[in-house]
Amino acid sequence: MKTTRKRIPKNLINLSLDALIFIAFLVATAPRFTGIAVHEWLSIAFGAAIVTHLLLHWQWIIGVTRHFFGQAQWRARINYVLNTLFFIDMTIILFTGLMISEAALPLLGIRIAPDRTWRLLHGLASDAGVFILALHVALHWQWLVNALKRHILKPLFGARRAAPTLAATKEAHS
Amino acid sequence: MKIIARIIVILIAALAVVGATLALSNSGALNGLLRAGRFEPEFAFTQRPGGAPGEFARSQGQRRQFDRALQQDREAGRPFAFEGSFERGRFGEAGLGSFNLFGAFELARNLIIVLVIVAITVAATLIWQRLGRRRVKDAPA
Repeated sequence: MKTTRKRIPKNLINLSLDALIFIAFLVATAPRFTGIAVHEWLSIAFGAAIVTHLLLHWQWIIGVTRHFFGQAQWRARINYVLNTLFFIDMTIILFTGLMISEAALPLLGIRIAPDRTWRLLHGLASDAGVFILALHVALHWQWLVNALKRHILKPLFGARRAAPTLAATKEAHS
Repeated sequence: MKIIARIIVILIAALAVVGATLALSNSGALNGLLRAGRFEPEFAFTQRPGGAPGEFARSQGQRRQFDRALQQDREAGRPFAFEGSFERGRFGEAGLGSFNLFGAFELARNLIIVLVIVAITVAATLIWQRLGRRRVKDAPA
């Protein structure tokens, strides 16, 4: 017998990963909230999540890179520039974070001489990251709302609305 | 195989950024930029022409003291908490390793900043789109 496996919609995967990255970023930007060890390990995991995010949007990246100076829409171009800035900013945050690491790298036996420049740059890049993240979310707002409606709100509230109607029809039949 | 190649491309791009950052740092341009932007307030005045020599010496002393204290704390495996430096209170009195409820305010502040920027940008985009549609409607056929 042939079994058919239900495929998870790509948008749902994107939405879940993006939500996770968003929450992780907010938590990681508040090191006093988590403590330094959680802050560092969460940020390292965050780096892996960004790579996954980029892999999921690889076709878009290639498409806009090819047509950036040609057919690409202005919205896509703005998005592309902002995303490039975001990538550079995230890389600087992660790199400077590793350079001033006080929990993760020492645990692995790696000790780097303290340098205030990395500390300053880390703080500055993190602050800039909050603003770029906000713009990134704002530019994808329409997609976010549509995906939330389709994959979260509709299955939840659509089912609740449908339930009384089904019950009512059963009663009517009996 | 395709995914591995893509991951390598992403890592190369990240390495390029790291390389550029390191190059800027080694050339001293990064320090200059950070100081010019006054992100280092207690040392910024030392860059001014005619700054008091005593002040400069004190800043250098503070810097050395800061680095020494950080090194000692690291070697002893203690969380860094150097009194009198600009980093004072950065992670709270309880130290780096612990959870601090005041951090929740930091989290809330960042969330509010994100929400405000999103609201402003989305509103601006909607207004821009409506104006664009109106212009198309009003245009003579």
